[in-house]
Formats: sequence, C-alpha cells, structure tokens
Amino acid sequence: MGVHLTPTELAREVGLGRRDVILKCMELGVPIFQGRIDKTLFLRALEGGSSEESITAEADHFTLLDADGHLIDSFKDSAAALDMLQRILGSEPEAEGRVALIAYDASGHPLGTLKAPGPAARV
Amino acid sequence: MAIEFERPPSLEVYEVPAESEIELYRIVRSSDKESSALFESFISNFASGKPPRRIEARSACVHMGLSMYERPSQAEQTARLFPVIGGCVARLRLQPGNGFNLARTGQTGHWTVWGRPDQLVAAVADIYSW
Repeated sequence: MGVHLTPTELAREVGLGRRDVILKCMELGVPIFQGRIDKTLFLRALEGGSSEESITAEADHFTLLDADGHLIDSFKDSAAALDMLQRILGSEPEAEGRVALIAYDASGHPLGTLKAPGPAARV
Repeated sequence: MAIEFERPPSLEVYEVPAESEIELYRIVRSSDKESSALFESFISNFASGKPPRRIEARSACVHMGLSMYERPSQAEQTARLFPVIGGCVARLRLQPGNGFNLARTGQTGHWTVWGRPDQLVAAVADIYSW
C-alpha cells in the first residue's frame, strides 16, 4: 500500500523544511494530491534528481491524459505536447489539475510530468 | 467505385485471438468489484457523453475506447504521477468471444481497448491499491 504524507510529515521524514518539500515537488513534478504526497514517488524523484529538462531529454513519448485516464493525445515532440497542454488550459481553465502531460521512455515507463509554462502551480 | 487510401491505416484493431488470453492493466477508482465507481472506470468518454478532445476528435474510435497498459508498473507509475485518475490498478484477462477489441495507441505498452463495461468488469481478475 502506498504511503501518502502531508508536506509537514514528509519534511520531518526526509530532513527538509516543509517549504522545501513543496518546492521540490513542483520542481520534480511530484504531485500533491488532496494535500498529500506519495513518499515513494518523492524519494525516487529526489534520488533521480529528475528535473523537467532531464525528463524531456530522456523521454520518447509525451502523452496527455484526462482525469479519467483517457488518452487526449500523444506526441513525439515535447514542444508540441507542451503547446497543446497550454492551449487546452487556455481554453478550459477548469481543466487545471484534470489534464496531465506525462513523459514516457522508449519502453513505455513513465518518467514524470511536464507543466505548461505559466504561473507556478498552487499547492 | 472502390475506395482507395493513399496512407496506411492510422489504427490497427485486433480481436483477442481464439484460444488465447490477453492480460492488460487499467487504472481504476475502486478495488470493490461490485461498486459503481469500478463500473464507471470502464465507461469511455464517448459513452459518458463527454465531448471529444484532440485524438478523440480525430478518431471517434479512440473516443469510444479505454486506456490500458501492458505492464502493471506502467499503470501504477502513471497513476502515481497523476493520482486523480485513480488509486487502484485492475488486472484484466481479456478472453475471446466477448467482443473485445484493442489497438496500440500512444507510447509503448499503451493500448486502447473497446468492450462493453459489464464484460470488462467481469474480465477483472484482481485489483490492488498502491
């Protein structure tokens, strides 16, 4: 069973400040869902040091998914994928948090999420 | 006059071969096989009346299908990155004779699957939470 902690709880476990945990989540694309963070995902991201840049460099495919897990579109080019994400969020602001752009490697393993350029995500 | 296409098909749709079984994994919202939340996890955007976007707009077929993965780790890691999709992964055993169809779409290991929701629920062998 996954372990999901609040930023405060996770900060205590990993020896970071609460604000640093939140900033790391934003930087590394680790989601904060209903105020909690998947500890395994956070630690894995921290170890791997995966920034959006490194994720993009390693990725083979970029897939847009909706909140029901349905495929919106799939791209080989990160710029086209980010552009489409931004267009969707621009025309449907309510889709914020309900559409995700996920990068996958050549074997189909998810590497991380990419955020549309714009205001920083609120947590 | 016969209809001819210059380009190869954009989607190759398969049936489950006779005397075989295909195992795929879907991110779902409940581990209770009797729950409405699980049943709803097997309803396509088309069936639930949601308007198509992008690939769904280009392809009514994809709009009518469901995303599934070849490996449980693909489904689980996708759900970890985008937890609003669901907190459980269902393993499906798709057997022939149930009207299931599938096509490779998107990244390696991702499939779009078509089937009647009640038969897809019946094909669920087990569900785990992560």
